[in-house]
Amino acid sequence: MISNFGLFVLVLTPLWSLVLHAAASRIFKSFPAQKVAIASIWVTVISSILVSLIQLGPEYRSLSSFLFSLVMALGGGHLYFHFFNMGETARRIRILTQLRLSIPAGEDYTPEKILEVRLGRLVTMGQLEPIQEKFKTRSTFFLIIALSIKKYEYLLFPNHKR
Amino acid sequence: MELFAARSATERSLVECGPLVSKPGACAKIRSMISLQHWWFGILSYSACHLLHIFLWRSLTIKHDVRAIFLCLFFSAFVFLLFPAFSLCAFLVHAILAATYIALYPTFQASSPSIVIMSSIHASAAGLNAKEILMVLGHGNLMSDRFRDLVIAKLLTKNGEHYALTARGKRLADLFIFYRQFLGLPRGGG
Repeated sequence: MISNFGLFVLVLTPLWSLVLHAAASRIFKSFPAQKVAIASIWVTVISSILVSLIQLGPEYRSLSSFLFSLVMALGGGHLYFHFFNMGETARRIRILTQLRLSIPAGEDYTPEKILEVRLGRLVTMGQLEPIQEKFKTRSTFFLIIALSIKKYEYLLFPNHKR
Repeated sequence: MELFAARSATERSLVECGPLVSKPGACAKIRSMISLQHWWFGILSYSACHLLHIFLWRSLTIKHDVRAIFLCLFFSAFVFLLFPAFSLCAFLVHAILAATYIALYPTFQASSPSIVIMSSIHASAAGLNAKEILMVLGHGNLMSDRFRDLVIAKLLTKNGEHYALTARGKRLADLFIFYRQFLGLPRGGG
């Protein structure tokens, strides 16, 4: 069983993430934007699960209701993170917003600049470690995700140029 | 008389709400709840659609892939609603899994530079410098391919050497400009 209110809270997890993230990004301006987003999403996901389970009452709480809440809240949080990430890192969104703001799209954004922005972001997030002139990966969760994504990309697009 | 009324209320709640409810008055709570029976059917139905998606993408060249992926993964959830065992909760699970995958899909489709950077550095035991990473990323198509994607998605039009936003492109750009302002963040992207 899941209560109507619990389901309402779970389905709207992306919206709660947005509200909390908007407040957090204004309060923690000096922190990296992606770290603030991830922290806000985790707080929202855990809160949504707790609210849905507490609201349910002990007599109806079960493993099934916990797993359902977990899938819905994690899915919602993940969805919001990718929406945020699109605005933060996607080249296509950059092209669209630059054209809308009448900024020449792409001209200032050379491959060197793309690399510089990304290396800076990955070092700030603690994913890469600069050693003298070279960069090395750190054993992080993101590295596992990156390698898995690369493998899945080969599976989905076997003819992609690499 | 009062005893009879109380008993009939209990019977009514048992009849309406099933044998799970043993206390009179608990029916109101039951009525504000949704059964989670077979919610995991949503995971099964999504997995079936996902396997179909992998098979189709590997065997066909799909031009309008965003439209196709919505059809294959998201709208297919409505077809499963025709099955009596496919409950509202199963539908929601299928829908949320499809939505999260569709949000992640551009990472695979456009070979995210961050992913390429991480995997290429990881593959090199001694690490890589900026010049070497740039060679792996490839100079030419980092932006030009994305312009082509936007034209295919009808978010941009190309007139000679110039690109212009379509009405849909303008709406999407406005959404992200407003969103970044709402978060109090500078213009992002890239």
